[in-house]
Amino acid sequence: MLSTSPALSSAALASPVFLAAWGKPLLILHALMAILLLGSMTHNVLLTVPYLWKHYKKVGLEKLYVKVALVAYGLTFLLGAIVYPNYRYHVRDQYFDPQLPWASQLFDIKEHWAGIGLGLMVVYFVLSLTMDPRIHRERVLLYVFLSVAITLIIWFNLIAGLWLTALKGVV
Amino acid sequence: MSAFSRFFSRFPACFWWTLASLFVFAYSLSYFLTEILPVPNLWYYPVLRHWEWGANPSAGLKMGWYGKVLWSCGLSFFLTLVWGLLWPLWKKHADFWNSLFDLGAMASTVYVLFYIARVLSTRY
Repeated sequence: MLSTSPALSSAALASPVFLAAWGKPLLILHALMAILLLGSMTHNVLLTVPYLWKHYKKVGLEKLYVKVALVAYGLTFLLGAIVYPNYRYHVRDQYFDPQLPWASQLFDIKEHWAGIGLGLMVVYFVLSLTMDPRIHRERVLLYVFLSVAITLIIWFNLIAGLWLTALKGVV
Repeated sequence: MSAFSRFFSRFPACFWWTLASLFVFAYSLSYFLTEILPVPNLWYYPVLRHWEWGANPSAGLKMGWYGKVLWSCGLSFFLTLVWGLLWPLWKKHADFWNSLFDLGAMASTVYVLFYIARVLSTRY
């Protein structure tokens, strides 16, 4: 009974934006996928950074984390893109821009970093499939760079996203 | 051997690594260029649920991020594809190109992330 659910405000039901009535469940899914992504990439980076000192523990597991992270990144990105119009109208336009412009700026940095991270993630996956850090030493620097860059982007984005949602979530 | 591995084994690993580095380089750079140049973009109007293409979009609440990501994906994919097709021309110097694109990829990514944070944090 969607229409009687307390989670659905009248603003959501009357909203003109795409899938506004599903804003909160989609946002929760978006956050859950982001947590999965954060976990997989954080575990991954803990295994890739030691490659710089020729410490190769659990290379197979490290590559499994990359596969999980690729799927989680794709789903997080897709869900974020679906919820975005709801945020743009109900949160940014009606609340952040007039009252908390710094929050709009923080979200803009988050969205652009997520956009950059998408390209990095795809390439990181390709590198993970085609290289072995124990053999291809000349590739390790770029591999670790991508791992660290993606992980930092995800940490920043998750913290910024939770902070912004605590200020004002979608309808 | 998985389908992915079979596909990637059709060319030497150096070929894929060069393309991967080029893709990162081109992606960061094209994202940056769409930020600083008035290139035509795909705009979405969330209230009207309407898409518009152009450098000078109509007034109203609009979003340019979808178009920006599509621009960057499309341009970098195109450049990478063209570079891949030119493989016979650069395979003799593959190590050089690989190192050059590695450097470009890392430098452009760090710079674009910094640029975005710097510009957006001082916008208002």
